[in-house]
Amino acid sequence: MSHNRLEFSGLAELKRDLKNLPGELAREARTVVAQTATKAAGEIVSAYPTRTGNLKRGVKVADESSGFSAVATVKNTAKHAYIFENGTQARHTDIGANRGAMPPGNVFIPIVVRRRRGMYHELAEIVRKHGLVVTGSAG
Amino acid sequence: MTDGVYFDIAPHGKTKFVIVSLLAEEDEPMFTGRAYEEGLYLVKAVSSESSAVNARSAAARIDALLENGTLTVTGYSLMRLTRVNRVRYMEVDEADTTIRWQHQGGHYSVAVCA
Repeated sequence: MSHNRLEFSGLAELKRDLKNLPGELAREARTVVAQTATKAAGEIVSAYPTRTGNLKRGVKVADESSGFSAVATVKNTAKHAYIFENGTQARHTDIGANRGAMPPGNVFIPIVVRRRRGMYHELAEIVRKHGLVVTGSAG
Repeated sequence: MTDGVYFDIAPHGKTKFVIVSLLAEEDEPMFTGRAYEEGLYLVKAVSSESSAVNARSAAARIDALLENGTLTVTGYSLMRLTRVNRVRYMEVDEADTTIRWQHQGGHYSVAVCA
C-alpha cells in the first residue's frame, strides 16, 4: 500500500478566483468599453461639420452591458448620418452648402475603428493582469 | 457601371459609376518595423435611376471580385481582402425630388504586409 501523498494548497482559493474571474473581468472591461465609447462620441461630435447641428446632436452612446458582458454602442440617429458617412451624389441642402456631390464624410467610421483598436489593447491588458495569456491581435 | 471608377467623387454629369474611398487606415507596428497595414475601403456602385436593380447587380459583381479576391499591390503581399459591412441606400435629391440615386456596395478591409 502506498503512503505517498501529494498535497495541493490554495486550490480552494484558485477555484474561488476562477469562479469570480468572469464577473471581475466584465466589471473592469465595462469601464474601458464605456470610456472608449464616450471618448469616441466626443471626438466624432468635434469632427462633424456644423451646419444645422443635426449631425452633432444625433450622436448617442448606449451602454448595453449585462452581468458578464461589456457592450457600448455609439450611433448617430440623425437621418442623414449614414449617407454623410458613405457619400452623397444628390444635392442635399441639409448636408452640404455647396449643393454638389459630397465624398464620404470620413468622420464616424475612422474614429470608431481607431478607438476600438485602442480598446482591444486595453482589454487585453486587463486579461493579462488577471494572469491569463493573450495571443494574436483583434485589432 | 458604364461611366467608370472614381476615387472619392465622380465628375459632374456622370450617372453610372463606381466610387472607391479610403475610410480608415491603420498600421500595426512591431519591434523590427511595421507588421502590416490595414485599410478600410468603401467600394460602391452608384446609379441615377429609380430602380436599384443595376446598382445591386454591380455591387454583386464588386463583391464577387473582391471578397477573398486577389490584389496586386507593388511592394506588398496581400494578407486579407474581405467585406465587413454592406452598404445600401437611396438618395432623394431635395432640390429635385424626382431624382433618385442608388448606392450599393460595401466596406472592404484590405490587409497587406511588406
